[in-house]
Amino acid sequence: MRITGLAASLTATLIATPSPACAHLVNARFGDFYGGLLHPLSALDYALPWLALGLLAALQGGRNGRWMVLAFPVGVAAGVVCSQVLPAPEKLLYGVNLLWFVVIGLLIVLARRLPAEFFVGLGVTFGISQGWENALAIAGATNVGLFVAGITVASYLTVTLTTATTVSLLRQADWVRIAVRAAGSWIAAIGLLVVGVKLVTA
Amino acid sequence: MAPRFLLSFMLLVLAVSCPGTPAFAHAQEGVAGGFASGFSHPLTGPDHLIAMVAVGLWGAQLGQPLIWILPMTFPLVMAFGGLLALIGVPMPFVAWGVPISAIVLGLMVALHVRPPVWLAALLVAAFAIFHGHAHGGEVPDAVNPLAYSIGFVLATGLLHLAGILVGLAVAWPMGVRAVRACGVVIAVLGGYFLAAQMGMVGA
Repeated sequence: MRITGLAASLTATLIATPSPACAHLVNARFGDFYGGLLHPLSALDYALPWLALGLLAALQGGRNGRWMVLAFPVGVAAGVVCSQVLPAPEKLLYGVNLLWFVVIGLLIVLARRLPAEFFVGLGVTFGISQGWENALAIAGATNVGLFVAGITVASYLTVTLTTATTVSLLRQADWVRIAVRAAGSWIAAIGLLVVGVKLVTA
Repeated sequence: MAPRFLLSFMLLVLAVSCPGTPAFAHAQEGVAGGFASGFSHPLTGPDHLIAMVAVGLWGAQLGQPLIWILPMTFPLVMAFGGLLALIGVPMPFVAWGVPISAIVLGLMVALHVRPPVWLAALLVAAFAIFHGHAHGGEVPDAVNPLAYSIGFVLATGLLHLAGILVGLAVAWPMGVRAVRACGVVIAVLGGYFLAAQMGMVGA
C-alpha cells in the first residue's frame, strides 16, 4: 500500500509540476544518447527482429542465451562504428535486415539448439547490420559516441529482458514453447511479405 | 499483491512518461492505419475467415502434434504465396482455391479425417498458398506495409487460435459432435462462397 501511495504521489507531483520544454536536448549533447536509445525501439523494422532474437536466445538455453546478451550489443556497436569508417551500402543493408525477419523467425520455428560459435556469430552479424542501418540516421551534428552508447544500451536491454522473460515463462508451462515457436512462424511470415513488397517497390 | 504491484508499475510508467523527451527521427508514418487495415483484412473476408478457423478446429481435433504444426505451417506458407503474388508469379484458380479450402477443411473436420501428419500439413500448406496469393498482392497498397503485414499475420494466427480453442471441446463427448457440426457449417459456407465465385448465386 505504501509503494502504491508513493507511486501515486510521485505521479501526481510530476503531472502537476510545470516543466520546461526540453525537446532539443541535443543542444545539451546528452540528447544523442536518447537518440541512439530510442531510434531502434521506435521503429517496427528494428524492434520486432530484436524481440525475435530474444525469443531465439531463450530457446537456445542458458549458455547460448547468455552469450547473446554480450554478442548482440557488441555487434550493434560495431555496426555503428562501421557506418563511420565505411561507405554505407544502404539498399543492401535494408534488404539484409528484412531477411533477418525470415532467418530468425525460421530458427525460432525449428527450435533446435545451435552450436555456440554459430549462434554468437549470428548475433554479432545481425547486430552489425542493425547497428549500421540505424547509424544512417546519424546527422552531422550528432555525437557518435553518445549515439553508440544509447543504441548499445537499447540492444542490451531488449535482448536481456526478452530472453529473461521468455526463459522464465518457458519454465512455467509447456505450451509456452509452442507459443514462442508459433510467434516465430508469424515473424518469418511477416518478413516474407515485407521482402516481397521490397522486391516490388525496389 | 499482484494488482497492487501492477497499479504501482502503471503509475510509475505514467510518471516516467510525463517529462519531456527529446525529438527523434522516426516518423513511422501509417503504423496504426497499416496495422488496423492488415488486422481487419482477414476478419472481413468471410471465406478466408472460415478456412482459418477450420485449420484451428482440425488441428485441435487431430491433437498432438498437428494442433501446433498446422497453425504454424499456415502463416509461413501463406506468406510464401503472398510473396509469389507480389513478384508476379501467376497462379490459376486462386479465387476458387479459397472457398474450396473451406469446403475441404470443413469436410475434414466434419468427417473427423485423420491423415498422416505429413499429409495433413501438406494439405493445409497447399491451401495456404492460395490464401496468400489471393491477399498478398494487396500489401504494397498499404501506407505502411510492415505494419499491414504484422496485422494481417496476427489476425490470421488469432483466427487459428480461435479455432483451436473451440476445437478443444473435443475433450467432451458433446464437444466432439459440436466440433464436427462446426465442420459441416464451414463446408456448407465454403460451398456457398464457391458458388458465388462461379456466379451461380449472388455474393
